[in-house]
Amino acid sequence: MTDNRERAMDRPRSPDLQVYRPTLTMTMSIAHRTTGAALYLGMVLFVWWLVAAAAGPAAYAVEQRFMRSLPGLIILFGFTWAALHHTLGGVRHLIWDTGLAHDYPWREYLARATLFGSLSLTGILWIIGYLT
Amino acid sequence: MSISRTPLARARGLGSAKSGTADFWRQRVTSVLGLPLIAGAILVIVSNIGADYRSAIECLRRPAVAILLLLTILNFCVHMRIGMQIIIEDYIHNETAKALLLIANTGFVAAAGVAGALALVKIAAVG
Repeated sequence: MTDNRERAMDRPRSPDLQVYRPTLTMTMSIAHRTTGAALYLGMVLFVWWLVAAAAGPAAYAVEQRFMRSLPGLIILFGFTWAALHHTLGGVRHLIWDTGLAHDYPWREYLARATLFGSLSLTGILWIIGYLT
Repeated sequence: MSISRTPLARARGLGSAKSGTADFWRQRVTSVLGLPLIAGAILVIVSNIGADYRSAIECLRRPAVAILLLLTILNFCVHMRIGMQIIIEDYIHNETAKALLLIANTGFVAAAGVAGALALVKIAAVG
């Protein structure tokens, strides 16, 4: 028993994040979880829009005023990017689930495509939104 | 495979959380179904940018829009409940705090889902 415990103490331990040199795939993994958690809270915004519309013109005006204020626009912009990034990141995970693209360089290409895709789609959506 | 797992535990395949791969699979199902839903929801949201109250209601009460957004809310409430549960289980190791946060997670998702769904049904039914 003592032997086992001593052996357990000698085992190599899993290093924490700061030990590794940051890589794009690692950052994208963290970003996937972070955007997921942000979208969790962002669901409140979407529900607020629906509830305000259901409640009537006064509640809807309050909601619209917030969304068009500077903090509201910043939150909406972040929400747009988070939604697109998490969606494309999810597609990346679904591709991995089929057993494809785990190896270098494909995992690197996928990570870059996800980031490029989410940023450019966010830009396109906001340009469309600005023009309408 | 760890030697601490008994053959019976391996055969059951339920793992330490005792729920097997049900959540794993459900997360995949809701992410695949979520792809067309999020695309449709973004279209609805973008088409309502700057819309006044009357035109927003006219849009939201259309059956196709109401069905799309109801499915979207239902789908992502399931998806985000599992996602947040995984985050809680990964980082919170105190059993009491973990249990309370998991309950809060279910409560938050249920509240958001019911509020959004009720709002959509109300708009569809009475405007």
